[in-house]
Amino acid sequence: MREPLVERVLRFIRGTTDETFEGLALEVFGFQYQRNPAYRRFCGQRGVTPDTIVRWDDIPPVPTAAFKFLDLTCAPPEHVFLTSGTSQGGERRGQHGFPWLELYDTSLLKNFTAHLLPDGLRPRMLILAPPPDLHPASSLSHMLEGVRKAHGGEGSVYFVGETGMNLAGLLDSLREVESQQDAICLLGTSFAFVHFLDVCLLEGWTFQLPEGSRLMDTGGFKGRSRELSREELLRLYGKTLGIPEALCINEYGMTEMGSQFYDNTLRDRFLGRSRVRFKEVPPWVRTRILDPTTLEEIPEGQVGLLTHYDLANCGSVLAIETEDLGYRVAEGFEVVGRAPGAEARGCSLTVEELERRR
Amino acid sequence: MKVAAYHLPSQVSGCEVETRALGTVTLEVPRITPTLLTEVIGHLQRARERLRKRKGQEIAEILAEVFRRWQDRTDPFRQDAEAALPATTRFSPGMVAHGLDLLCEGYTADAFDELLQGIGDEEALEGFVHLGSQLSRAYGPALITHVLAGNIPGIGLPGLIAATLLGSASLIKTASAEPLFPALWAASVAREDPEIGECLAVLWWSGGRADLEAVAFDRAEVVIAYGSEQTIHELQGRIRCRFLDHGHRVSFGLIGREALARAEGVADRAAYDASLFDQQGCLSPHLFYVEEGGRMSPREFAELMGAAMARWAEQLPPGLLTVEEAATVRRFRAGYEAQELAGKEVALFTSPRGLDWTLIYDADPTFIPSCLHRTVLIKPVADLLEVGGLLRPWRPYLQAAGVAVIPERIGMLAGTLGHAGVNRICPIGRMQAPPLTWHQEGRPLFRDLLRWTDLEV
Repeated sequence: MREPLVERVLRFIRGTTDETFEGLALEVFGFQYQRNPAYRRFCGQRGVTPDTIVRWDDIPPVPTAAFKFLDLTCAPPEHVFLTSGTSQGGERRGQHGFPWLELYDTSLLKNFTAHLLPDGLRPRMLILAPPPDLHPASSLSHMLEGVRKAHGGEGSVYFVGETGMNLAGLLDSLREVESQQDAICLLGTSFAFVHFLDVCLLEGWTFQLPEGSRLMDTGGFKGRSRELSREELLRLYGKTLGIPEALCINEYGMTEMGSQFYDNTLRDRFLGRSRVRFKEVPPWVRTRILDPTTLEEIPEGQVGLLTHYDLANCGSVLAIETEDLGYRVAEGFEVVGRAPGAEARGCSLTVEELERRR
Repeated sequence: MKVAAYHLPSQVSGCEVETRALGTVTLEVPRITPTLLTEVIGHLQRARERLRKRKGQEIAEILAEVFRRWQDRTDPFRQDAEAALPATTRFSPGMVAHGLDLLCEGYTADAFDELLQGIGDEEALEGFVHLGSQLSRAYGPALITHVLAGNIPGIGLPGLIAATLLGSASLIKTASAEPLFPALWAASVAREDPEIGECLAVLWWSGGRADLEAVAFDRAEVVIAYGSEQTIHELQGRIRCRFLDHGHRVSFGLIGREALARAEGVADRAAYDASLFDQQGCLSPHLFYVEEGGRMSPREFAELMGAAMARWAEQLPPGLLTVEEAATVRRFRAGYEAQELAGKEVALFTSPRGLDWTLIYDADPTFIPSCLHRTVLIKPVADLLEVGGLLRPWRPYLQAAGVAVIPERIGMLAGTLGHAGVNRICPIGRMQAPPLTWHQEGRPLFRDLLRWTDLEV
């Protein structure tokens, strides 16, 4: 027997209810406060109880670092995702348990189709990431497998295995696709794409993929490929794969959240709109941009700490203070990058300098 | 306000000046070309020929007078520095004023004398002298290029003073974050003694400009450089002359159980050391090891020191943090708060508002560098001598250890710390005020600059 509140959140994500985000968020907070002892202690440190707050944005956000040390689930989890850690390695990994994985999957598919498949396409998916059996604890692998199973056309496959990227297989598939009519979807990590693009540049390979083909990349480079600016990456996608910028979508997500964010451009094109590129916030999420010193909302246009309130996190904590910096754009936001750790101001050794060295 | 962030020998002509905004201050900086730099170096080297004939003692007296005038808050150079440095360095005005006082305090005629005596036999600079069984003569470099880094006013001054006392000319490349103080200082030297002023050039260019650095490094006999490990590494590959590097370093403190009998005073001095320059200095303590078995527990000491941090935040207000810096401090705090909530032996004491200061008690004695910006870790040890082992992974980075122990224990403790790689052991409360004779990075400041010729007869 599943919690009635979970059912209500599921209906809200599906868009089949007239409840409001604000009302549900406060109820979810009350539920989490009751079910989640670690979160209750966290709130206690801040003098917050469900009785002391009246607005959703008063709900205390938990820093992502807390997932490294605390069990933040509200019930026994069906599945636990682990953070990948950073390229420096050795760091303690965060864990995020999902007592009701259907929340994750519902949010994922609803948002993914809205931003990558608004035309109802069921494309062949070529995936530049490892399959879930290689990384069962990776939320990214779970996510990609989820969309592949639900919406992937025939011949949807993974091109990263235990020994690295299957370049020959990918090349064959792309050549095969070129001669066909059906648009495809490439999905993968940004560093895998850069690795592939670098080989293409070296070998002089270019592709002209069928019209309507699209691409989704995600994540930082994590020291696993050279670092490219978004502009440069988009230019290379166009030049090498023949995919126009608007159909190249960056996904931003994290293990600590049940929902993701996608660029607006593909969906906008489908709806005949033209707006600058930004990360669109789905109706069951709110994003605030906070001054990291005061945790107050920062003035429009300034860079601050991205803080998300995600109903799909009903089984853990709804309010997440990330380590990512960003600023507001249109109805969403743009990510500046994972707060890299500040450069040294003076002459003292900094943790960041040491991490870079390792 | 607009200030000249450069100093050139008076005869250098025809350089174009452009402006650079740094905070609320507009800095005037010359547009530097390899030709201009070559001309500047030519002037420096000629001027130096006059300076080297003067006695170190005499130069020392002039420099002492320069610093004496800097202590006068109505002096125009001091006023410019106090007005502009908060914007360039992002230290609070109170911190800048205090930092300048502290700087001047140490640069006296006596301190310069002591430095000069360190050479062993000053006469060796004027001719061959008997050193043991042979004759030896010391030469100061004609030109020293100083590459400064960071935002702490006065960084690099020991090297500049030593160079000037030796009669060497100095080309100073300032740091992006703090290009002003060296220029004001050089101008104040020129005011006191134009001939010495002719031997100083202070310029700023964006680090890594190969055309300029080829000139600046190839014509120098010694290069002194401050910077991150990466900067130092890059410079190393391009410098063929003697290279004296000052990479980023880490400092810490040790508090013995007996010292906890007067814990309030120790906490206050420790908080002062950590608050000064917002903990940005290589002499800023990241953490304090506190010995168990004293009047109070290390955890209680952490709480006491938190209160002291709060007082120093009033007295010497912290500077403004960038978004990245604030995010770094928040992340550091978040990790420890989560550990505390998870039931680990961790306690967090923080400023009531914002990120002014953070005190973390962590029972795990592993040496962990702080995220800085007035973030201090307190770690317990059963015996201070255990620290030697804990320092082992940090050996290449160790700088100073501030200590509060009874005199009977200092000898053995100093032996352990010196063996571990620490190059300065001093009382807590004096960590940021090293004497000029300090062997920074374990090297002798003055003698490192000299070149010797031996004569066997």
